[in-house]
Amino acid sequence: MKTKKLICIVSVTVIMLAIAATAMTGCTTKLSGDEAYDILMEALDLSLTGDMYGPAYDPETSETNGYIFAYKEAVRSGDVITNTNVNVHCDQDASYNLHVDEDLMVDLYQETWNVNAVTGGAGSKIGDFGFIVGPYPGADSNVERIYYTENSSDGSGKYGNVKVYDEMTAEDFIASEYFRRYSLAARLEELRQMPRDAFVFDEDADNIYQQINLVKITFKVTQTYLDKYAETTGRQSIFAGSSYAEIELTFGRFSNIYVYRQENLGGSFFNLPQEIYSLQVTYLGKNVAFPGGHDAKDENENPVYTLSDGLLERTDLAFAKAVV
Amino acid sequence: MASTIKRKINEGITQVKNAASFIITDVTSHWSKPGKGNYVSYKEILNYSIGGMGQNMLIYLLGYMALGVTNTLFASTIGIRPMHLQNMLTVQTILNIVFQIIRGKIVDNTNTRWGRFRPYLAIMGAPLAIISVIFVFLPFESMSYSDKYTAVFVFAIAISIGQPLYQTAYTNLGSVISPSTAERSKVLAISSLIYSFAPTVYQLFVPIFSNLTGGFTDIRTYKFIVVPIGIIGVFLSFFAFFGCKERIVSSKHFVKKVSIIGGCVAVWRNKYWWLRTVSTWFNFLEGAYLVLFGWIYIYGTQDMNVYGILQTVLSIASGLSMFATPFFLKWLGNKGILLFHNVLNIVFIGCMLACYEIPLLYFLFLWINTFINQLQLVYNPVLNAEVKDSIQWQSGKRVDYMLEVAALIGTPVTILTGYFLPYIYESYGLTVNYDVLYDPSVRNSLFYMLCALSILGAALNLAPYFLYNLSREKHSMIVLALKYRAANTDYRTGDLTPHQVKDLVESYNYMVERRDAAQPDIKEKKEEMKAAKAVFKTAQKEYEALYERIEKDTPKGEEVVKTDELLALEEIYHQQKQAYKDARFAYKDACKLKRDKEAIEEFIVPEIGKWDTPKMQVKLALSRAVVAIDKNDVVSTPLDLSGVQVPDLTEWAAALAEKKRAAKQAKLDSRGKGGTAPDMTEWAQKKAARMTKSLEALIKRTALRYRIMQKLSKLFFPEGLVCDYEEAYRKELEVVCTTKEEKKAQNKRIRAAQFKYNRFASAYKLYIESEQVILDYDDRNNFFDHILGMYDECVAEAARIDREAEEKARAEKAAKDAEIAEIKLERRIRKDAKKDAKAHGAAFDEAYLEKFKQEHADDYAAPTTAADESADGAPPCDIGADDAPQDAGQTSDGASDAKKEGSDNED
Repeated sequence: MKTKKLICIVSVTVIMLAIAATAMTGCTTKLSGDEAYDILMEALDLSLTGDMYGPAYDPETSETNGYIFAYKEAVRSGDVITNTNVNVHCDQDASYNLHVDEDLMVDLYQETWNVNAVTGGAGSKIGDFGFIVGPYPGADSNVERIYYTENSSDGSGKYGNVKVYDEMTAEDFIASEYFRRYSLAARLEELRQMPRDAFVFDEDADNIYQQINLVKITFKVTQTYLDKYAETTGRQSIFAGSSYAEIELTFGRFSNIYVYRQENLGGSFFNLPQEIYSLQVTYLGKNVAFPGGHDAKDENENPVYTLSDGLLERTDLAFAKAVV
Repeated sequence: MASTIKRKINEGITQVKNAASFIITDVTSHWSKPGKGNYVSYKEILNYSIGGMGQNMLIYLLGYMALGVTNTLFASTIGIRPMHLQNMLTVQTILNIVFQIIRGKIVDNTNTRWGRFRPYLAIMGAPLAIISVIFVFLPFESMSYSDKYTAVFVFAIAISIGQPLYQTAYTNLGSVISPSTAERSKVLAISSLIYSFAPTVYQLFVPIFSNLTGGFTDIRTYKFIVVPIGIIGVFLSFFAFFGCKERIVSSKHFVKKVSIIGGCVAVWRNKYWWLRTVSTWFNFLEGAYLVLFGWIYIYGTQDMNVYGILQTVLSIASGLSMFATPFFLKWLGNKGILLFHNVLNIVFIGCMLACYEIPLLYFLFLWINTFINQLQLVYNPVLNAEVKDSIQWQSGKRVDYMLEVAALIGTPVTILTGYFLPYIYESYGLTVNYDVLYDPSVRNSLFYMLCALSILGAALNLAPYFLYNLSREKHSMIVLALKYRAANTDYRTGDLTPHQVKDLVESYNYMVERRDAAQPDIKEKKEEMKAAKAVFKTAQKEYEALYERIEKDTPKGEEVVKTDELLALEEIYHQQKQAYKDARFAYKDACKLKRDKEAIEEFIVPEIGKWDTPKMQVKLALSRAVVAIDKNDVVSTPLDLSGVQVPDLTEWAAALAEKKRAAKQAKLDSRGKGGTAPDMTEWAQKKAARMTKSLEALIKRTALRYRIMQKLSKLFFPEGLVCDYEEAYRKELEVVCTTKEEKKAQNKRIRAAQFKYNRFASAYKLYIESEQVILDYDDRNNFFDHILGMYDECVAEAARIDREAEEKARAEKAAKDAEIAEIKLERRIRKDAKKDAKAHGAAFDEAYLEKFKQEHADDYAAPTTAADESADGAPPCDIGADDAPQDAGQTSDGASDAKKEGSDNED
């Protein structure tokens, strides 16, 4: 009798696990190419409703007041890899409500690497630059400052070790033309403008599906589109030279995009797809902290960060290096 | 009321003082030598605990190299995708089947002078630490994704091959450190409490120091904070290797080889193992909530200082829980603690689900749940050890590591369920970029789902334990049966010790006493207990009411004067309290007696009468047929089984039917429902038919195995057997080496002998098993025919050995005390001589010291101590006197003589 009970328990367990596995599979719905395209466009619009540079921005209705987002972008162009992290952040209360009007901060950091000739990955760093904007920590807390640092190792001497600051609010910085190119809208601009016929979906493969709150879309881009894009904008598309791309949408908003190129890395076993472009977006990033030693002084008691009026007018700064 | 509380507090303080005094006395008096009836000294417990700290610290480092979607090093820091990690994990799980089998085979056939598990604690730590160090120092910042992917895969697999050997060596050492369940749980509880100090410290400081190196998503944290912890751990784990012993209840005779299939089948036939294994299949769900605490602080509040402090507070819960486990085990019993743990898990994870948005409240419930959850750290090894004993009783095979090999049967379930959480993570937006967890809308949806899944997992985890009934009483009867079996063999081999005889006969007498005791009516006892409780409560109320009345009338600051009436009530109160205690004890004892009787019926009766069963009779006949042929003639002689017949089972079936009917009737009677138990003849006949079939299969299987043996012996030993390979191997193991070169050469000889023995054991497996069956049969009555009669003699002999050991320990202690006293005196003289030199303005040197000694010889005469006398009976040494060095020499010689004598005794 006891053995029978035991057999029953084991059988029920295995059956339950099998049902759970089936249910898991059942939660995944395959999508057609057209459905995927429509969902993608809706998600792009929804993602940008809070972005003041976005197409559907309405300051009256926007919950995030047009600001809050964070993304990490990695672009591999020729023999250079550029990583860009942008984080527009504000505090939240115990109930997770965002307080955009108070303590708004921006953290922007970009670094450029040479591609390692042996591994194909990041090799030596060419240079980096970063902005931190927000309320100045300390006694004079009403003043907001923009801190700018830059380090270069390219040996040209053009971009030395720069540490400057200016007085500016985060709102002003975001509203400036300089920030515009780093906005989320700027990152999603190309996708938003892509026509349906630019996408090639493989509807027979199981790579376009909805899985509870996640939509995953795998596609290729037509050469016609790539040529047309280059012709009309004078720049290369992020899909240029790609084998395929993946887009992930979660909770109806844009989350990630990965563009791959198939590369032979020495033998079929290691023939993994190589990312040539990636963009990972969240709608609230990590807390932003001021750079260490922002108020530090050198051996002559001079501040390490020196005042630079019209910081954003310094067009010779690293913006020129940004790969957009 | 206030005075009652005060009185109770005072009583409580006295009890705590008494307990503390008892603990101190117990620890100091049993520091090097275990107490009566125990096996493990406190020194050994401390060594085991420090080893545990080391093991814990290295495992902490290796934990960061474990494949899994929640691994911060692989996922967040190095940037490997969760699904890729899960794929690697699947490959690792499949590879693990092979490695697990190899590991099981190696460990269960390990038979070194250091034991079965301890060698792996010593030899596995350093290589694992080195692999981890190499991994974290790889130049990830300049590696492509495919290089990172390959590196993670190779290193994680390499670590996963060796880590279980190291990790389980420590836990398995805990399960064989004592054959007594109660002592084992005590040892595990104390050691857990001590070794949890290590995680308490590093869990506090690692998050805080990680602020300096960029947090847990920065590789520098692993390089400069986590790695050193692991390296220290390697060194500490040597304490467990050098300072502990393994005590497996089995014959002292040579350990037979356990085959993989034989070991696994033995495990799979055990019901308790199945129940525990099936329950663990749902751990993947129950553990879903575990990541949330880290996520709340890493991605929510982002306050690593508070996180570090809370982790420390959390580890206190673990320590307290480990300390409390033996009490819970005693209070609830084996099944009770399993149900208690899992039911409370459901309740507290439910509370976490309700308040996951409030970090501190969430932490409070997490703390309580951790306290409940960590009970298993102590009770799991205890219960696992019991299951191992149960398997040994059932199959006759001692399987330790094979338990984990047998668990590979659940690999498909593990692989399938392993994809469940990554699936949920992905479905809630956590695909590659863990930064989405900073967004509360994403984080909270995932939290809600993970908590709900944990509750479901805890409920599924609980279900199998409703069938778990391996009680403490059953386990002690299993141990008695094993002792009986081992003693029968040890009597033949001459390995039986007086202590073993004393222990076994006393356990046997207790069993007989319980078996023959009249079973009181449990219901009646319960009613009596309830009635006694009611009377006691009334007496207590009356006494307290009068006490408070008198206290009210007593002026403040004065003591309450006890009137005659109060004294009378107090006496009644104490009497009723004692009566209630007695009634409660009687009820509990009646319940225990019932369980004891059931356990005796289940384990001891079949053990004693096992040779009368049809199965063992056929097995014996088959074994005799095999052994009738000489080993060297096996190849040329066919096996003649014509004389082996399946016996007529009609009588056996009738007896079985009657026994079963009687058991059912007793059950009905005990429930008080009345009625007559059904006729079980049909059931018994079916059982007899199945038995007949199984015996026929056994005969056929033996014939087949014999043919296989013929082929293998022809293949491995074409020229026949030239010696006793088992004896040769054992002799090589016993050779004592003094130099490194000798050891090296001896190890080579051991390996060669082991190789030959392994070949012999696999080719002649059937023959060896048959010989063992016949030996066991011949030994079956050793206990009743010889050992029982040796009791009085052995008790006296054991007392003599104990006395001698005690005297030896005392002499050693006295010698040590004398040595310390001498050193102290020397220091005092030197100090005084320095002062004297300073006072006289003279330079202090050795000559001055000698002169000072001679001048003040009388002042520094050492007082006579009992220690001195007991050490050698010599007078106290007199520094400065002409014969002082001689005296000192005598003392030390005396001590060394005592030591020598001791070592002679040991030899």
